[in-house]
Amino acid sequence: MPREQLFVGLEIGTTKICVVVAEGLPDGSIHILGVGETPSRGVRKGEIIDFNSATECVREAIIDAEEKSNVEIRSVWVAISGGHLQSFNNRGTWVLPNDHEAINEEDLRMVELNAKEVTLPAANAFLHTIIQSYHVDGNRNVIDPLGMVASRLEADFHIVHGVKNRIQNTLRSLESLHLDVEDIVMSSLASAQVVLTQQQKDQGALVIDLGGGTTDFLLYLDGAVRHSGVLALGGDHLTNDISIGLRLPIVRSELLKIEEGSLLLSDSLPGEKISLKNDAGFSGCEIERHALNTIMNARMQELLELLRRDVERACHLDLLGAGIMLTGGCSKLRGIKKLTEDIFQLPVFLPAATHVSGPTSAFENPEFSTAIGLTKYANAVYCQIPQENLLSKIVGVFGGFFGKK
Amino acid sequence: MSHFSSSSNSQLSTPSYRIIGVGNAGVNFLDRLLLSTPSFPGLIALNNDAESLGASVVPHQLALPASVAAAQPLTLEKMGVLLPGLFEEIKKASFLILLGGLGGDFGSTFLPALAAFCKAAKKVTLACVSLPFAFEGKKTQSMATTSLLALERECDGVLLLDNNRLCVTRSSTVALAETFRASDEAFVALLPALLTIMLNRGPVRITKSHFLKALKNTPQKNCFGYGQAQGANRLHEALERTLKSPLLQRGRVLAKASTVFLLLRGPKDISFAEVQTAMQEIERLVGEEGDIQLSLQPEEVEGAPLKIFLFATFQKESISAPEGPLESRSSHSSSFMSEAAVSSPVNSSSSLAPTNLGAPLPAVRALPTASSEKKKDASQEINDFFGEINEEQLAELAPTAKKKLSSSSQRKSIQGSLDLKPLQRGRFDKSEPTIVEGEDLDTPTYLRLGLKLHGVDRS
Repeated sequence: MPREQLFVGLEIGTTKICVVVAEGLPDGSIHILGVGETPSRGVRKGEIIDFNSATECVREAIIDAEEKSNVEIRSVWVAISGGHLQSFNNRGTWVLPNDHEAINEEDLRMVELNAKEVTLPAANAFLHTIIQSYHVDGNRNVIDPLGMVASRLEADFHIVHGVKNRIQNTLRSLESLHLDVEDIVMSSLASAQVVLTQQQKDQGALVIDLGGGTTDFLLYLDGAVRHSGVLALGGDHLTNDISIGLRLPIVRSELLKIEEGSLLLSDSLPGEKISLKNDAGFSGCEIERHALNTIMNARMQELLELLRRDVERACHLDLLGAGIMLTGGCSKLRGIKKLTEDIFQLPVFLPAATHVSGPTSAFENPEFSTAIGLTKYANAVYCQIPQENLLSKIVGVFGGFFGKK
Repeated sequence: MSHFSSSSNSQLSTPSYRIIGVGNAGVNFLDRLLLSTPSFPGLIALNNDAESLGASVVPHQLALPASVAAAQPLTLEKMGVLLPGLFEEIKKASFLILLGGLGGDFGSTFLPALAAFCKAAKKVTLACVSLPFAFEGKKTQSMATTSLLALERECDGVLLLDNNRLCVTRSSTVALAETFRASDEAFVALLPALLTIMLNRGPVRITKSHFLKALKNTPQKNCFGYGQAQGANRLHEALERTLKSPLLQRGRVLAKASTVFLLLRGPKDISFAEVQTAMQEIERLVGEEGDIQLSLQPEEVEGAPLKIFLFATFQKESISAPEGPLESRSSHSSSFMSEAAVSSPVNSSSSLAPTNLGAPLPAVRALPTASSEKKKDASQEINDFFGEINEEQLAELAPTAKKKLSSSSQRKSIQGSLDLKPLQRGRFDKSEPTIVEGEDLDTPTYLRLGLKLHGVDRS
């Protein structure tokens, strides 16, 4: 059976580094061939703080993915996150020359350039310029203006930017492993590709990726990205709070959070205790379940309320017809659905990846949604490239993938 | 910052009200108001300080002789002689708003006297007064308390701006001038909103009688916030700014409010959905017993910002201690309460005789009486005013003090303690802090919120 396009998604997360190898199918879906992962070191709040340790972890994850998928990886699509990422919406305007018959690719490029003519902080660089809608001679919400006769073209864009040096640290790490970078994608944009269907994007939906070091979110309205952001808060903060509050080592706190913790205060009985057994370097103890849940509830409630306020600044919550999709490692915590529903007063879902096949353990696990989303994003990009360009691109970039299989 | 649009001004060229700024503070508030809205009508500056009046931009000024000051009993007759112009203005107005700061010699004395004068003229009178800052000294505080009690008797409603509560959420390093400016700005926001309610404007109105009743039932227990915004998400932004106003403690105090007046002013295109959302948001914050009254005033000006004004009144003893360094605040309040109770009891015989123009006006600073019963009443009244800290709060703040308070006199000062240990950040100690809205979110949330945890029982 001939192999379809192969894509590799790499997420350098705070808790783990994850590599997904998948093949893109012509219908836009993907088939996962293998997932490599390794616990992360040298990454804090989604950003590299120890270059060598992080690079070593990436190497281990790549090797793991190569072994599981039997593919030699040469280039990757990389997810990027961190509190330095910011976004805004802007409109570009382009007055077409008199001799123009119809809108062409060059005009679309010019209107995008015009939208990007804003002053960013000196240290920042553009990451994404995502089209929201075109306006042709005042005719609003035109989906595809190519070929239309017009004198004035306007376009609304969602623009994402971040600190250049921090993004480059990730690239340098991959460069040192002799990996080519196909593109850099904001984490939440990648996650949204697998947890949202087109219908949900049209209805209006909020994707919240609750990660270890960051919480990434992306808001879709009328099929377009309207708002996005990153809070440098995540599961690590819950673990840290437990560690300080209950005076436990970080490792025990992490286990306690996953195995026993709940985000709902009602999930504990009065005086209910949890026994922690002796371990190397840790003498056992008993803690009150209510204390654990109080710590977790306070942190997650604060995080979600911050998020709610941020999203409310961008749109009325009532416009989110499809509700909220939670993904990321922390979406597995007990009580997260109920707590989110209480705070946002909207339906909340914990969706599995859509239009994905392969090992169910991979695509049903919300921890992998960003890396899987990267491959789906890559497939979508490739599906848009004209066939003649596609062939040359595939041969140029992905030629190496076919060698090993 | 303009809180009153030009269209509103044109409607108010011959206003049916008068706003009288009394003393240096009152004149200062009017100046601030005129700086933000240059043609604000119906303002009168009244002072015994010629220098202050000379520097003021208020066009209508009334000067009293410098000799008219504290401890000088003024009869209504004498006041009529001294200020014939004022008497005329009061006669013309349908209602009056008196502005001033309590604690100073002139304002503290003259405001209650003027209120009695207005009452005698059978005019609806509201007083908007500020209480002094804690650093202005015990004597000033005591004088303010006494004056406030007198004002309460004479006015139909007293709106109080406690400068201490206003500034408690501000950093201690903020410049003094900035602190005073915040106080003035609060007044500038308060007055147009107050006028909208009192003038019964807009398609949805709060009735004057309802408003005055709420003020009268809950004397001295009120707080307010304001905010404005433009753009696609103007409602949420304005609402957020409103709730961030220091007196509202991010909306937390609304849970105990007995009545909340929500005033939406702004563009003509203010939508039904926005009004509905605003009500829903406030309903979420207000307790089940709380009553919400809405007033809506769309303006004619295109593109005017959406302005939200929130005013809450409370049943006695329901407002909590202000946010911030709680321990030090509570100790300050309670020590002040005891001082006030001891040093300035109110002479119950000093009530004014409003309908008798020939009757002498008593000096506001009353003399202590021999009657212990009256002393008790006065101290209770003062205690009510400053809001007793309930036992639950006290248990959190100072467990030992709680015991003492519940067992005996309830008037003992509580010694506060200042925690000098920095809050722990654990594994984030050496990483870049996550600062959101001025808070370091790497510090555990339960620590910042002061939640109590049961300790770990090491076996």
